Amino acid sequence: MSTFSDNPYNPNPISKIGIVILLGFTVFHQINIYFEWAIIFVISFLFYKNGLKNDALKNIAFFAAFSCLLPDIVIIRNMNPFIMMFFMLFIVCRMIYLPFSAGKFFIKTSDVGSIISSMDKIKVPQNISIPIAVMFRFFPSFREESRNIKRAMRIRGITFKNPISYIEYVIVPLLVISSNISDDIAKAAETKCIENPVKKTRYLSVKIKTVDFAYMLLMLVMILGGILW
Amino acid sequence: MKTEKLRIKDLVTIGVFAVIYFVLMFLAGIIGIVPILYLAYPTLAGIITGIVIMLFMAKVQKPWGLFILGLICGLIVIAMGNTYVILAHVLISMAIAEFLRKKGEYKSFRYNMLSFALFNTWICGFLMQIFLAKDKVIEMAETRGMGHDYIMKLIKLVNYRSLILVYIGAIIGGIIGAYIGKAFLKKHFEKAGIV
Repeated sequence: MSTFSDNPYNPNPISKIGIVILLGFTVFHQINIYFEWAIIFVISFLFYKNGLKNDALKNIAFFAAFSCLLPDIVIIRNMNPFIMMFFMLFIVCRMIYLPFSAGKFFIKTSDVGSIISSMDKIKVPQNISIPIAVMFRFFPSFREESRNIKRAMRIRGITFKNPISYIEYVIVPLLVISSNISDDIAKAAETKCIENPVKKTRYLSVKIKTVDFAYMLLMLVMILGGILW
Repeated sequence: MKTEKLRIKDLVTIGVFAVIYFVLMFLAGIIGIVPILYLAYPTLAGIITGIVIMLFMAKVQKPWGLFILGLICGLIVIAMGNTYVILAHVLISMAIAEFLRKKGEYKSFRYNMLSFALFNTWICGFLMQIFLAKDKVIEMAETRGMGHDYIMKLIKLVNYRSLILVYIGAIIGGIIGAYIGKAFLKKHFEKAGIV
């Protein structure tokens, strides 16, 4: 995992999340199609340089599919309204696509340690940063527990065919186990002096690299250029 | 005793319950694939996640607990690629929900129920951002050469009236979820000594 943060082409999490929020503006303002393609290519380039070649290709392919297939709707226009509603969903996907792909880049290329230490850097209060850190710690064990519970219920003949009892028999043990785990995590954290009010040392430190400036600047230019064009 | 600050135990509980809440919410989100039914998404999510949030409210009876849980949900949704509208929506919903909880002193079931119903409205933010970007949808549809009747159908689907219906649906779903949660608390969790 730590290979990501050593890569000179990987921006730090702060600038990645900043870009996701900035790209939110493109949903409400019409942007020139060429600038949109440029944004997609920048994100794909970063995917490629971080070793995720498949994602780079997929990113371009999906955007091409969303933006080029739409004119064909003229043919479908005379069909029934249900299919049309389906295409409404298609248009929504197309609109959300830019921030979505930036968000995918953020999730796929940042590791937990760098996210937490970057939250320290921008002085996120402890009340918010500790729950987020716990979420990353808890998610794998949550998956494991839920798989075990589902298997146990299948042995007893409770399947998804009867949704109400299925929900009851899966959610209740899950919640009981989860609250026990949360007590355990709290004890473990307290014995490690998490409440000690000193500056904490992190295993990974977040640096500002040239790629951060380049990424931010390119995106800003493209969004502003696309709106003003 | 009643109004003390959040300790580490509560913060860890917030993190754990945020994970469960999020997973259940996304399971409910499968309904969104069927085109018209995504207007009912907030209602369904409220019914399903009622148990989780009511148990959470019973466990953490302190100020700002629910607010932080909702804020984290908003932040995760933003990181997965949504717009800033949803964050603003989360802040407003959570502030009202937190205020209602404070009024019931974090214990009374009636205020917790109302608080969860308002907490549940943050899911409407997903639809809200589509609604606010309606002009762009129309413009895009026009440039792609789609017919006028098609655009009219789109507008018919997303208007003020259906949006209000979605909000009412979210609140009703929240209330139903809260009652289910109360029943579950009594049936299972109080016996098991969790609360």
